[in-house]
Amino acid sequence: MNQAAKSSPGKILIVDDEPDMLEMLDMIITDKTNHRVITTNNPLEVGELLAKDNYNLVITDLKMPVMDGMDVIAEVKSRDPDIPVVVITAFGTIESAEEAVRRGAYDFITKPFRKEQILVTIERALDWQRLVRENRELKRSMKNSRG
Amino acid sequence: MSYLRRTWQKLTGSAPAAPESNDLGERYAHFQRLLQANNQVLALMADMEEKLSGEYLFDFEYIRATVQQLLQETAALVEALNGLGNQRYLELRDALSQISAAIAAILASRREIPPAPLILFFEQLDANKVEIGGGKGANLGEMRSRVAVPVPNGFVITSYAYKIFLDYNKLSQHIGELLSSWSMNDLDSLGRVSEELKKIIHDAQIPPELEAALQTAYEQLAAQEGRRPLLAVRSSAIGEDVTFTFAGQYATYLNVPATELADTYKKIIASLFTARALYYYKNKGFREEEMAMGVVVMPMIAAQASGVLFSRHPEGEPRDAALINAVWGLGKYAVAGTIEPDQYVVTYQPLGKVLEQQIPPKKLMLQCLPAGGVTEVPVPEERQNQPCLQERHLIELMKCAQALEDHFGKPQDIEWALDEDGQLWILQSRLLKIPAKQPTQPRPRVVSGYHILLDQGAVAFRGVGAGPVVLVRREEDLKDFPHGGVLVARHTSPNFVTVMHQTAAIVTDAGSPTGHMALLAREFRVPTILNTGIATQVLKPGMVVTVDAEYRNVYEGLVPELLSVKENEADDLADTPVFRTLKKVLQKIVPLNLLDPKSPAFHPAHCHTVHDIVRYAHEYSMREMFQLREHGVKGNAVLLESDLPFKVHMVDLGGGLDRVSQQKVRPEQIRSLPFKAFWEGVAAMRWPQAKPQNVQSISSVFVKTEEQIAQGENPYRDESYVLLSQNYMNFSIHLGYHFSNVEAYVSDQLNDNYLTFNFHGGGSTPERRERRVRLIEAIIDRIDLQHQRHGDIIEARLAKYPAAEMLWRLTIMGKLTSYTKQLDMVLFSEGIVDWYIKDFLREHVERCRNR
Repeated sequence: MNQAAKSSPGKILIVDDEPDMLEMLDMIITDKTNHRVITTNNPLEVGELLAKDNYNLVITDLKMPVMDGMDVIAEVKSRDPDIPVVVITAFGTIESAEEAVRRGAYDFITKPFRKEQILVTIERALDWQRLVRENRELKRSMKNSRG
Repeated sequence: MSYLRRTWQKLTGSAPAAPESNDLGERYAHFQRLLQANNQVLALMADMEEKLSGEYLFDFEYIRATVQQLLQETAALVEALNGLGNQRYLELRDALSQISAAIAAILASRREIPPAPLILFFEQLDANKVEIGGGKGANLGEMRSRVAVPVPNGFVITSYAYKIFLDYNKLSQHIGELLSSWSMNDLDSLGRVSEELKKIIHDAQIPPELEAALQTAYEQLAAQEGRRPLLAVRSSAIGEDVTFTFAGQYATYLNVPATELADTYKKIIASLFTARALYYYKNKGFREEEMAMGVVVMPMIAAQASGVLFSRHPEGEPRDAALINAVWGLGKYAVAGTIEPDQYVVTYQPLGKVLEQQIPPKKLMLQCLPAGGVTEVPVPEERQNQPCLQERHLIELMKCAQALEDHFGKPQDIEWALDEDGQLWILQSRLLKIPAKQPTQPRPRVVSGYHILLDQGAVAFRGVGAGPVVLVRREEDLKDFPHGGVLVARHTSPNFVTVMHQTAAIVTDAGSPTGHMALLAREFRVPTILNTGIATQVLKPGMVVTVDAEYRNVYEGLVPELLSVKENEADDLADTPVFRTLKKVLQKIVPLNLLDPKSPAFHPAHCHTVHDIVRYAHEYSMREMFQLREHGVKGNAVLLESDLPFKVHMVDLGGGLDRVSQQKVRPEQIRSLPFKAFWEGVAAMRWPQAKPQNVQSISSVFVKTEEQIAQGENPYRDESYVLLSQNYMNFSIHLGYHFSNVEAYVSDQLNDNYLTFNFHGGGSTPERRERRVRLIEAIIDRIDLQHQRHGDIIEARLAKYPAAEMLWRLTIMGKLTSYTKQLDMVLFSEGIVDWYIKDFLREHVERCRNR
C-alpha cells in the first residue's frame, strides 16, 4: 500500500444510539485524519443514508434498540459487500462481537478503547476495501482480456 | 451469612464446628472479603483516572458500570468491616450512602435548566451562561461584552422560558404518552409521530408571562435600534452535541415580523422533534432538560453582502491565512451551496493581503421582503461579476478574525454581514473544525535514527516530554528543579508534586502506576514511566533526553518527530459531557481526606469520598484483626513449637492437627495438607540465626528507633495465625512489617483446589518496599500464579491444579515467605534484587521443577 493511497480521504458513516459517542468519534476522526464523517443516532436511517451517498466504511454500535448492529451489518452487506463494517461493543460482549464478524463485520473494537485503536482499525478497514476493489478490478480486466 | 457458613463447613469437614470457631471463621471470611474489596476498589479507581487522560473513548455506560462495581465493592468492604467488628461501624454505611447519593445525582443530571429570567439581552450574557442562553446566545453575549467586534443588539429567550413553555402545556407528559403509544419500528412511523408532535407544539399556548416578556423585550430592542425592526430568530442549543446530532442543522427564521415572534418560537421548539430525536427519546425516555434550548432574537440585517470566514484556511498552505466566502444579499446562500460564492484567501501578516481570490458570476441573491420573509431575486447585471468585498472590508474582517481567535484561543468559523450602510456585523463565531491535513499515522513504537537509552517500565501517564535529566536523590534536590527538567529518581515519592507543574517527564527505577505519585502525575498530566529498574543508572544528570511514555522508550537527545506529535494533540474530548461527568464523579471518589489515623478527624463522619472509606476500613480491619488475636481465641488456639523465630497461633477446624498436648504442637503433628507443605518450605530455608537472646521475636531487629515504635510500628506484629483443616489453610503472616495472607484448599477434587496470596508491604524504606514487591512478583510469576499489583499490594491466585502441583507451589510459597523476610535487611540495591531473584529461582524453583 503506497502512502498516497493510504492518505486518500474516505467517507465514514457512524451509527450509535448514544449521541455522546458519535460526537467523540466524529471529533477524533476529524481531528486526526482527513476522512469525512457522517453520523446518525438512528439506525433506521442507515438504508436511506447508504442509498444517498457512497461510503467507504461503516462504524456501528452493536447494542441498539429496534435495529441493532447485526441488522446494520445485513443492511450494509445487502447494498454493497465491499463496504467494511467495524462494530463497537461494550466490554463483556465479546461473543456477540465474534458473531458480528461471522456475519460479515470486518472487525470489532471493545469500549472503552484508546483513540489510536480506532484510528488504526479505520485505516486497516479502508485498506481492505481498496484491496478488495483493486482485486475485483484486476480479475475483471483479466477476464476481459481473455475475451 | 449462610454462604459463609456453608463454606466454613466445607473447610472444616462434616463435624459441626464449635460456636467460637464458627464465629472466628466468619470473621476471617470478612477479613478476606475486605482485603479483596479493598484491592478491587483501588484498581477501579486507577482505571477511571486513566480514562481521563484523553487517550480513551468511553461512554456513559462505562461510567455507570464502573461506578456501580466500585460502589458494590465499597459496600462489601463496609459490610465486611461491620461483620468483623460486630456492627461497630454502622456510621460508615451512612457515609457511603451519602457518597452514593451524590454520585447518583451527578450521573442523573447530564444537564440542568437553571432558573433564570425568561429573557436576557446579549449584554447580560457571557460564555459561562451556555446553560441559560444556549451556545449561540452565550457566544454572542461573550463577543458583545468582551471582544472588540461589532455585534448587533439582541436578546435570548432562555432555556428557562423553554421549560415554562413545556410545563405550562404539560408537553413532557403528552410527549411521553405519544412516544409510548407508537411502536416506531421504521422511518415512516417515526416521521408520522414527528409530524404529530409538531402539530401539538404548534397548538400549544405561549404562557402569558412569556408572551408579556417577549413584548417587553421587543420594545426594548426597538428603543435600542431607534426603529421597529423585523427579526432574525435562531435556535441556540444547550447541548449542541445532542441537538446537532438530532437536527442536523439549526432552525433559523429570517425577517420575522414582531407579531409573529411567538409563533416562530413555537416552530423552533417543534423543529427539535426530528425522527432522530424521537428514536432517542422513544428508547431512553423523554426528559425536557435533554433538549433544553435558548432562542436568539436579533434585528434582521438587510445585508448587501454576507458570508462566512474561516479564521484558518482549512486546506491551504500555509495556514497563516483566513478563507473568506461572500455572496450578495443574505448569507444563507453562502453556506447552502445554492450559488458559488466569492472566495478570498487573506493573510494576517501583512493584514488583509489577498493571496488568492475567485470571483465567479453570482446571478442570484436572497433578499428581505418589506413586510417580512425573504425572497430570491436576480443580482443586477452590473454587480454579478463584481467582488462582494473591497479591500477595507477584508481588512476589517481580518481584524475581527484576529480578535476572535485571540479571545477564544482557537480557529473560528465566523458568520458576518455587511449592511446597507456598509457597516460590518459579526452574527456568530464558533469553533472551526479543521480536518487533519494528513491522516495521523499510528506512530511507530520506535523512532529510528535515535539512540534508545531505556525501553522498559510501566507507564503511569501517557505522553511525550523532553528536557535535561535531573537526578532527584533526596528531597533537597527538588529545591532547584529547573523548568522543563526530566525528573529521574530511584523511587516514586508524593513529594515530587512540588515540581510537577514544571516537569517535562518523570522516569523512575521503581514504583507502581497505581501508587499515590502516579495519581498525582496523571493529575498534572506529566508523562511518566515507572519501574524501569535502571533509569538512575543510564540517565545521567544534565543529559537531554526525550521520554516517550507511550511506548516506554527514553531516547538520547531531542526527537522532534515525537515532540511535534505532542504539540498537535488538542484535548477536545475533555469538553465533552461524558468527560465532564467522569471528572465530577471522580471528585466524589478519589480525593483522600483521612490522612492521619491518630487524628480525631479519622472518623466515618469525615469520610467524604470512596477513598476515605477504603482508607478507614482498611485501618480498622487491621485493628479488629489484632483484637481477634488478643482476646478472641483463648482455649482454641495452640502454638506451633519450632526452632524458627516465628510465633504461630493455630486453630484446628477439623483434621488439621494431630493434637496431643493442649498448648503446643510440633510441626510433625501437622496433618493439614496445604499447611504441612507450606511449613516445609518455611523450615527448609537457612534461617540466619536462632532467636537472639533476650529478644522476644525477630522483628525487634527491625525496630531501629523509639520513634518508629511511636509511629505505630509495633513489634508484636510478627505473631502469625493460621486456621487449619485437613485440606485447608488460611495463614495470616506478620513478619517484620509486612503482612501476607496465604489461603489454600488442596484435595483430590481438582476443581476445588485453589491458592490465593495477598501481600501488603509496609515498614522499611519506599525503595526497599518496591524491591521486595518486585522480587515477590518475579518469583510467583515463575510458579504460574496469576498476579496483580496495586502500589505495594500484590494479589495472586492459582486454581484447579492437581494436588501434587498445588503442594509443590505451597512449599515454594513457604520458602519465599522466609526468603523475603530475611532479605529485608539486604535489599540495598536493584542489582542485588536481581541477583536474589535469580538465586531463589535457581535454588528453589528450577530444581524442584526438574525433579
